[in-house]
Amino acid sequence: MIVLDTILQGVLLGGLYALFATGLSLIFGVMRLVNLAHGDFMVVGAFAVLIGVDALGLPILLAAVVAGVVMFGLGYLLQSLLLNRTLGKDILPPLLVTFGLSIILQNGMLEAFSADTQRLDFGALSSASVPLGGGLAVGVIPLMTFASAVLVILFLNWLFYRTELGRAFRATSDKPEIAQLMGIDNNRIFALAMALALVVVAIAGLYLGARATFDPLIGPSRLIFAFEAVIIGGLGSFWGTLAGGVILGLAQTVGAQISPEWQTLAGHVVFLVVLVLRPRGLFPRHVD
Amino acid sequence: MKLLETHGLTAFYGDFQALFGIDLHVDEGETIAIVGANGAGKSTLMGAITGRRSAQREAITFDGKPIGGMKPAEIMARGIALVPEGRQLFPSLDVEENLLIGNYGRKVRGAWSLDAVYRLFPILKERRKQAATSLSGGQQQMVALGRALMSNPRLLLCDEISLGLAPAIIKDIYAALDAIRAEGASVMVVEQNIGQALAVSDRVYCLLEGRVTLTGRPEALSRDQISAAYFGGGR
Amino acid sequence: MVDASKYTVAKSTRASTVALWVMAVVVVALALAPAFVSRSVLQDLFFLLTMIALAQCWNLLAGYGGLVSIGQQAYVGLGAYAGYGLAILGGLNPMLAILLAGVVGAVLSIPTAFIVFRLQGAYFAIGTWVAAEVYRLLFAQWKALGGGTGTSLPSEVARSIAGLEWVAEVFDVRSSAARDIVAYWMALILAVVVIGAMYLFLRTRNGLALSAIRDNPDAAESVGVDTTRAKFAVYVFAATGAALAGGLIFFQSASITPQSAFSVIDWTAFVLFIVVIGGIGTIEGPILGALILLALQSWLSQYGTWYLMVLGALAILVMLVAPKGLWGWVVARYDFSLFPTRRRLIGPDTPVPDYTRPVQEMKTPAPPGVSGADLPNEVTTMFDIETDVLIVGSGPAGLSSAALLSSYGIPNVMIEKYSWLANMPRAHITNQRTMEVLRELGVEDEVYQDAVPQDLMGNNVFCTSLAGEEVGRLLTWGNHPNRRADYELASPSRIVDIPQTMLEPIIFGKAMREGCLARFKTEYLSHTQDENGVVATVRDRVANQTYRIRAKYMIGADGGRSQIVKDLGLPLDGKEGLAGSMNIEFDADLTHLVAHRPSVLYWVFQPGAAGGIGAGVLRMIRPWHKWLGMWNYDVSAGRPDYSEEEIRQILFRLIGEEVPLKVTRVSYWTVNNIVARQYSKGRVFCMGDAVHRHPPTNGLGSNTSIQDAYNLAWKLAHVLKAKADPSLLDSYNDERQPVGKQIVTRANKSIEDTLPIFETLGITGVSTDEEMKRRLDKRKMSTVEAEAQRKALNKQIRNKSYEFNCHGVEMGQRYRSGAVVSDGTPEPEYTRDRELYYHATTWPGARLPHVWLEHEGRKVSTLDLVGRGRFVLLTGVSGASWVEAAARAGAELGLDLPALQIGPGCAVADTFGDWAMVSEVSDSGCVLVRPDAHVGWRAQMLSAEPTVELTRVMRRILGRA
Repeated sequence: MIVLDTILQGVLLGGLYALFATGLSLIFGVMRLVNLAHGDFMVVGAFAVLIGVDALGLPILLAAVVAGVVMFGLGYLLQSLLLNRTLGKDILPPLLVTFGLSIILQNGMLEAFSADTQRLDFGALSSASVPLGGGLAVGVIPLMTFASAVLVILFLNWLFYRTELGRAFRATSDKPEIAQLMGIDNNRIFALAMALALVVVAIAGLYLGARATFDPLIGPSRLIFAFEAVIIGGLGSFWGTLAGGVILGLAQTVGAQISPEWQTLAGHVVFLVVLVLRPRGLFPRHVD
Repeated sequence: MKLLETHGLTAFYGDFQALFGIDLHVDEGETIAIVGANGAGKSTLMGAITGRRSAQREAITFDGKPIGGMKPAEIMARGIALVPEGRQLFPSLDVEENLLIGNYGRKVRGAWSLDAVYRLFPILKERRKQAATSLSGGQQQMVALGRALMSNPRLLLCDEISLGLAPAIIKDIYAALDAIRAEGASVMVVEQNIGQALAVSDRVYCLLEGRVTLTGRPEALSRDQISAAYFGGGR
Repeated sequence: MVDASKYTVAKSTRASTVALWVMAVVVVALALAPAFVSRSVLQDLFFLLTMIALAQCWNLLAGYGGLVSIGQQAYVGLGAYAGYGLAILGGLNPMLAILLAGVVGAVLSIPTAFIVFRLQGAYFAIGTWVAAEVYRLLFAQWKALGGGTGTSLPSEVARSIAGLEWVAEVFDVRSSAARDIVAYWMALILAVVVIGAMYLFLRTRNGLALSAIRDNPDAAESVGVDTTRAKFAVYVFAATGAALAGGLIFFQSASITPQSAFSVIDWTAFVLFIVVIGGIGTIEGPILGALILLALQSWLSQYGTWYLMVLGALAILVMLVAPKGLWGWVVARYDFSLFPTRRRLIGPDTPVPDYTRPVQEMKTPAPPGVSGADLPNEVTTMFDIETDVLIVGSGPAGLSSAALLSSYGIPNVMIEKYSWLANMPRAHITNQRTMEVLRELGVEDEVYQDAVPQDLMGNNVFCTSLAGEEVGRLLTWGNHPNRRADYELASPSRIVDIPQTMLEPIIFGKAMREGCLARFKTEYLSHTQDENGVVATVRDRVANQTYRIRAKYMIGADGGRSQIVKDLGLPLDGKEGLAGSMNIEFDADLTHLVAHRPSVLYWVFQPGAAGGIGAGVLRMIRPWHKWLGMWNYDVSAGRPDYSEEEIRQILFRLIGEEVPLKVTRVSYWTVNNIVARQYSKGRVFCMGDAVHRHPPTNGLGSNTSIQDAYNLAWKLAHVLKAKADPSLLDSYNDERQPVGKQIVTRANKSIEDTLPIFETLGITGVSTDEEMKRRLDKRKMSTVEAEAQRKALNKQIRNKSYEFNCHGVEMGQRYRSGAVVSDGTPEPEYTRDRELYYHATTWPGARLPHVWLEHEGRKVSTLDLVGRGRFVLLTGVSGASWVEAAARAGAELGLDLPALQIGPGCAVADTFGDWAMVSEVSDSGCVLVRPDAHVGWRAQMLSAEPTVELTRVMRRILGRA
């Protein structure tokens, strides 16, 4: 029974990691950019929700919507004012600029919110669980997290494969120069992609804060989880990212069963094993 | 009525000059051909007109307004569509998506729509859900042509559309070009294949080492004149 | 010799030499610092030095190796923990423990690299971070060192470091302060060693290769740079440095936790900012960056988080505005470098060219059907190269041009379509005139060592097969006693036989030693030229990339199928494919058949042999075991397709016995009779087989090619150094085209000259050996007809001296052009046959006659006095005014114009009185010799105004009139 419970918890944790990873995957897919401040933006998202709840007195879900809108604007401006200028053949500028952003965000938040740990409170839902019989029960929040991950991925798949904007995303990703000839403004497309990614990040931030405590400095470690999920799943597919998140979640949950200190380490080990055995990840989109 | 004009257009790759004061024009409804050997500057000229290469603002006018140095997307929105050399389809998009993306930046009602393109190239309708890059070269060229038509351009630029295709396919593609011209668009054909270019065009410009060396109506030009302009030297 | 010190490959600059001394002073001052500064300053300096060491490691990794890591904290932490473990648990002296910590870092970096190297670019960055996290989590499990909460260094361990007591005594401080001093010194050593090792490494071939990897990994890999290995080495180096720094830092701080030892902020973020702000990809930048960080820290660190935000913002700003950092900005603005790791080629009178500097990057349009974005990176060309002279082709003409131009101090690039020099020993006869050029290049002795000497070359045999009947023999290549003197008198050098495959590497070696930049597997595609130069588009056939080379002039030495001649549209006279011949290279020991009559060539008359170059031929490549068989084929029937057995049968018939042999190569060629009417157009000059294509008879192809180069090289050098007007270059065509025409005619005539021998023998058209024998036997009879036949045969064989003893054609060129100024005398008569005999004269246009002289106690040739890129004025005992005039004229024209008096009491002694016999001028006259040893002008006696006269003549020759 413990085994089943562990698996269930692991899969649900994987939903959270998939949420962490989806934004990273989206941005890389559209513009080949790896955002090292990705984890910190999740923390920013969590604080944004916190402000909505604490300072504005909004219900948490409404606060999350507001945070989502704010993050959308932030992403659009960030990309068009800063990150578009770093894109090019050289990988160093985007890496360094997002790394610098990461440091700035962490310390900015430290300055603004202190190093205290915070938590987003869903009220009664926070502790609610759904009994599955046989002594098994799953928390409502983890369930919501997983469901949100699935919904986000469904939405992104719809957007990418069923809408004109999605076509533009894919076309730009394929051949940015030729996409411009179709009347696509690459910089605008990139800005929209970043805006969209930060909305996903805000959702991730919501559950980051709801499932556990957070503080201004935990971004980098969450970035690493997101990254591991993307690589395990294989680049280029949102469902692969979900699978990667689930595998990572399972590994961590199993590791934690052995010893609490082993939770993170077990995730890393699985990641390294995948990297050695299947460097392109488990579910890469293009097999060539 | 002059639709597109260039006035002393120059272009550089770094400090290597690729175009030296090109003057040309395309009238409304006219088809012109730009011929020249590899490296004559044809692609650079296309790049400058479509905004992929920098150009002085006043050096290119479209419909009387300067467009030199504008972004490609802005130029496309004004009604210049390019069928790029090498077709350049989007591999992540299927055939229909490749066509649909053609009017992303310019949604103008006109003769051309998805249905009209399918009528022109019925084979594409059969293959509409296939990955565009899985088609044969000729079919890919049809997609590239159809994609450019989707925006109902006033000027259609065709860059080396016969390159790498079998002669029979080239005939089909050029037959389609006739249908396209019949709908009223101006066309600018860039070709290394002189015979093909002469057959479809109202006027020809010969480019050699970045300069226009010869211009005129195809029937008024002798073979020797053209080959001299094409190859340079007294050959 | 050209003063080699004027023309050097330099990596150091004057600033760098000064800087080296300043560095040395700074290091000494820093070493003495503990005596002067307070303990807190010392701690700041310790921080500075360790950060510099860490920053340089990361700089090497990211800035040179292109490996952007954000996981270097892994090795800092590893080093720290290893040091603690070894010192506390292992009881080692801390100093030794720190050194071993470096080893631990190096060892563990190997499996780590194995994993993280599977990721590329940005993902590599995060991968290294994950690796660091894994190490952090693992070390947090090490309970003996405090697990997750860490531990501190027991003071008895800290105090056990070597030299502590001595330091405490000398500086009169307590042991904790003494420990800081020792740690500080170790940090100083670490920083110096890391910088020094990095500097030295970057100056090696591997170091330069690293930059190649950074700029274009795919291209670098395909041209043979082992990217993975080079990157791996860099990764291990950086890990070792970081581990040493880690061991040291935590020894100094005396306490450790997993969080602090593996801190991404302290050991990666700071380090990264230092490098980026200071200037990535330079050695100076990180030093500057560390100083800036230290300054910012002392002003801002009290503001904590704001300090870090400012730092982050500053790094972003630098990356966007000046991506090469502050030092990069300095370099770009002032072209200044303290640690130059790039090579510059510096010639005496040339602006400093820098081959390694990409002039510009340009995007090439993707090939049709391939979209740029389909590729991992857009296809970009490697870079454009800029040089003075681009030489296309590395045959004798191209190589000699490269060697001569380089020795004259002219930057040049030689490209060759294939991967190495000649692979077939086609050319072999190397005549005296060519040897004189090689003598000037200083490689004559090298050639003699490998060459077959004259006296083994000359028993030219006509026979029915090597083992068969000998029909006649002609002593060739000056080996007849009555010709030997002609050859010996004419030149300080001897005619030799050396296969092209052995001669070319010798000239190539010379060219490369003198600074030529050769690029093999590089194909000429096309070119354009304007009034400023030539731009050639070439393709690197290894990397499959097309790029452009800009040159002021181009030399088309691209052989018999010259694309450049085609592109220029040079008019060609004559016909190609007149007859077909095949070359069969084989190994066989034929000593028993030839040693008694050593020769280069053995002519074989057999049924079907008349054709090709006139008869079947066995040519010695190396005496007497490497051979070349030549047999003709009918060109109109196309190239034959012989089986290996058929080829062996051809050889057996030529040899006349079935000796053991091994065929190594078969190739086909046709007899051509082509000469270009014009050798040059604009700034492009063609030479060698590109402009004269003819059969190997007379052995003039390679010789003429090398002499073409010798004619053009000094002219280009003078024009490029602005000593002559470009119109001087017109004389190249005027002087060399007639020579080309002459030798093409001669070589083809020589083929025709073989036919009469067949006719005289009455063997034309015979189809069987028996018939042949019967006909040949006729001449042995004691009849009147047979006697007449014998006489005729003798005459026809002797007539072949026009092929084999053609000394006049080899040596006797007299140039007529604007670069020769007449002295008013008529051309000297030829007293003997002008093709067979060389006629020495100092008549302007002719080659300076050779006689032996004595100069500075050594026997020298007149030719040794001249050449090497300079004009030289030769005069006699009464020519002191000419010497003075030469100095003045030289000064006025801005060139070196040495003058030498020859005669008793002069600098040069006319030991044998030979100069007096050949100089054709009086003791007060002079002979002006051009750099190619041809006489440019002469004066019978002293003129009224020698300076004016000489200056006028020089101006005329140089086109500056």
